[in-house]
Amino acid sequence: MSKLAALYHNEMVKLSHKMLVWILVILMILTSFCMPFLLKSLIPEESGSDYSEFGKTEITKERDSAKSALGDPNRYVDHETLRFTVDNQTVEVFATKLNLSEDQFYQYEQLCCYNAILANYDFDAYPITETYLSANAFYAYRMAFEQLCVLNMESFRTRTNEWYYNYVRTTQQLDLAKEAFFYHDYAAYLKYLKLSDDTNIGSNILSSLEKVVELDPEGKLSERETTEIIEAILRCNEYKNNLAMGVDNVDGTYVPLTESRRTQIESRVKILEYQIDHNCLVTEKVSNATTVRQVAQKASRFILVILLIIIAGSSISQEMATGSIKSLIIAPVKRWKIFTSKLLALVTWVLAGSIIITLITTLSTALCMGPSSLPPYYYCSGGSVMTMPNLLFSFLFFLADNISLFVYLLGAFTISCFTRNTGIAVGVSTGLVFCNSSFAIIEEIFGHERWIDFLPFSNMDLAGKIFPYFDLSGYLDAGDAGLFGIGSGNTLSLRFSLIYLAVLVFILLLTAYDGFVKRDIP
Amino acid sequence: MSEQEKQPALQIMNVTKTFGKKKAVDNVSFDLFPGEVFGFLGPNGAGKTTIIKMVMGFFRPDEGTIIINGYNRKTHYEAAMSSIGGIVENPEMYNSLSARLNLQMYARLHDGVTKERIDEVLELVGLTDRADEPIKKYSLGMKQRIGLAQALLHRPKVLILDEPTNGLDPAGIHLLRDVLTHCAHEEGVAVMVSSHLLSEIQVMCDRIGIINHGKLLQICSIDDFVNQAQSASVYRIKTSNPAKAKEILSEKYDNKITNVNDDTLDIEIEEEQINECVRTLVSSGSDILGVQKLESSLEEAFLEITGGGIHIE
Repeated sequence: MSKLAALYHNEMVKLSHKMLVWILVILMILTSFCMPFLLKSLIPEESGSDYSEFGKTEITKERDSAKSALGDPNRYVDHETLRFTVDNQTVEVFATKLNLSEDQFYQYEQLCCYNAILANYDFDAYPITETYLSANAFYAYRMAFEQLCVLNMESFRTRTNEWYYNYVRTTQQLDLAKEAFFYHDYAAYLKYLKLSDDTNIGSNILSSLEKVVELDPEGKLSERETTEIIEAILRCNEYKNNLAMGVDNVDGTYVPLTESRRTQIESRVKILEYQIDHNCLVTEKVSNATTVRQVAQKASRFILVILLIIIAGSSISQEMATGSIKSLIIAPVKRWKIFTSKLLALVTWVLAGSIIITLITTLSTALCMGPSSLPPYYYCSGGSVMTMPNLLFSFLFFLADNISLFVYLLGAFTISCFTRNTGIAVGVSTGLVFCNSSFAIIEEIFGHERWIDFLPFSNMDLAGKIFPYFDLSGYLDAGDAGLFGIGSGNTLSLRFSLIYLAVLVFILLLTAYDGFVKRDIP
Repeated sequence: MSEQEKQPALQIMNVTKTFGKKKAVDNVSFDLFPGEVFGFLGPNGAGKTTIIKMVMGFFRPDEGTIIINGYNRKTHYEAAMSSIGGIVENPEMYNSLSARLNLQMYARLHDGVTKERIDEVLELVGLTDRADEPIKKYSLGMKQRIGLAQALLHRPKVLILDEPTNGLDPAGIHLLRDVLTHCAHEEGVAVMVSSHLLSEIQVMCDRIGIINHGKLLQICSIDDFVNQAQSASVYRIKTSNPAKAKEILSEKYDNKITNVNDDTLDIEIEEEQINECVRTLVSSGSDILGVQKLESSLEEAFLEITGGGIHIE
């Protein structure tokens, strides 16, 4: 063992004295650090202006342009049949006969509506574009107003029972929307939605909104947050439906639900419900930060891959080419120990590289996006929802993603041992890495055939299989985010992939071992 | 105590190695004893390096056993290999690292090599001043020296040097000779030196083995070899009529006359016989213009044993 440790020590000394290694390491560290800042500048900035002022200005602008075209809506329009009145809160529009065009009429209606809003709405308390209730109630209020105008355009002579029914309903809607909008009343908004239920809003959304009201009775959550909750609830409902029907939705196609998928989906429901209840759903900020870090990780890994392929591809063949292998062969160490020490050095570099990249990208993402944008990983164990610290998970997820990297490195190492030619080893394995990223094309050409499952590329994408709930913490799939993996559409089980890779690694190791340990050194 | 009574430091027993169809080493056996310098002599391609590489662990012998310091190389690899040190072909190390670091790395693979020992061997080969320079700045001679330092670092029982004088300057050769003699005679190391240069072997070795076509042809002490060679030298006699001289001498030395030219005649006789030979010629009326001792006797003997020198298949 001490000999193995000494050999390993020597390997690390040798690598640490290579200029190329240091250049690439520094490049990797720089990429890890700078990439998040660069990526952040590419994400569109959230509008930082005052929401209430923004809403007010917009409405004023629209009102004024209508006013300049049509005049004051508060006056009686000097026309035999058309009259607008605007009291403080209610706007009623009467029209018996129309000389105005439909567009002009619509503008009058808008004018009245905006006048009422500007006169009565408390912009400071409820900024229109910010909270979900304000934004949606504003929209509902305008729609009801518009609907009422359209109904009033109908001439008295042609008004039927259906017209009266619609008229009554629209005035009710207008009242409810007004309640919801001006008094920030969620209950009124829900009633408005129920009234409109049969026409445009699904009961699914209605029930999810009821849940939102339960969570946020004051209506203080922003529109984005509320939308996220609603989407999560809808997703939960879909999962529950699928579980009840025993189906699994794979890329829009329904297939029978397997037992393992059932547990997984049940866990997903639990995690989502936990996140909804504890207000820790993935926000846009979080998913942006996670994406930024993931992309930075992959970009830095690209440099790590080049570095490691060179190390792996040259470890044996380079020593043979320069003859420095002699001082290892002459030494009283068995060849398998030399072989193992080189492999261990390689594994160390994969691990150290992954740790360095994760630490630095996390640090720099926290610096530019704020530490709160990096939440823990949620998973389900023994029926209860658990969390794993962000840094740890990010590292493990990255490492799981690097399993494929390790297979490529082993490939380079094997070719290096077997052909004893650095050029071939580095060239072939670099080629394979690039092949992997364009592998999806094969599936596009041939469609999904069984033999494709037995290609190494199909079994490289393990991170998503080991951590199936990554998307619930805002992470992207390997295939979507980077270098390796072919992403969605790959339905091979984790066990199949692991066995496949184990066999592949075993064959590679055996070939490498045979190439170096058994054969003579020329 | 005679050499034969000592326990051999290196035993090579019936070793055979085949590359493809060619037998590079064919059933070679010999022992190496502590305290001797063994010269391994043979033309290029004779199998010297193959045997050395088998001893040093580069090749596995197809057949046969190698025992180093009492340990079978096959069953007790590490114990056997820790008693051996050497240089195979040119000494190659990690060029970007300094000599000292190279030695430190090599020392790590052996038990009980101290920092002081590293300084000691650097001093021994005269590289103390330049030990912290990277090897790539070294000349071939300096590389040989550092290779020697590496080979000696762990005080091996068996020291094997493959053509060690390549690239060495006269001072370096002198140093090498001193070091080897010191190691063998003072510290009791069994030293094996391979070479295709006779002169080198002649001054360094106690015993030599001659190999050609993978077969060990002869093993004898250097003194025996020199005696054997010196007992018959080729003399070139310059005379006005070589044909006549041949006639005169053929009665007595018929099969010893090796060559007859326009004005010279080559004859292979012992040193004591030259007087008589000249006298015979003079008395029978031939005029002697000169007598010259020809080629190095050792080389002649060597060529004779190896069958005429270089054979590369």
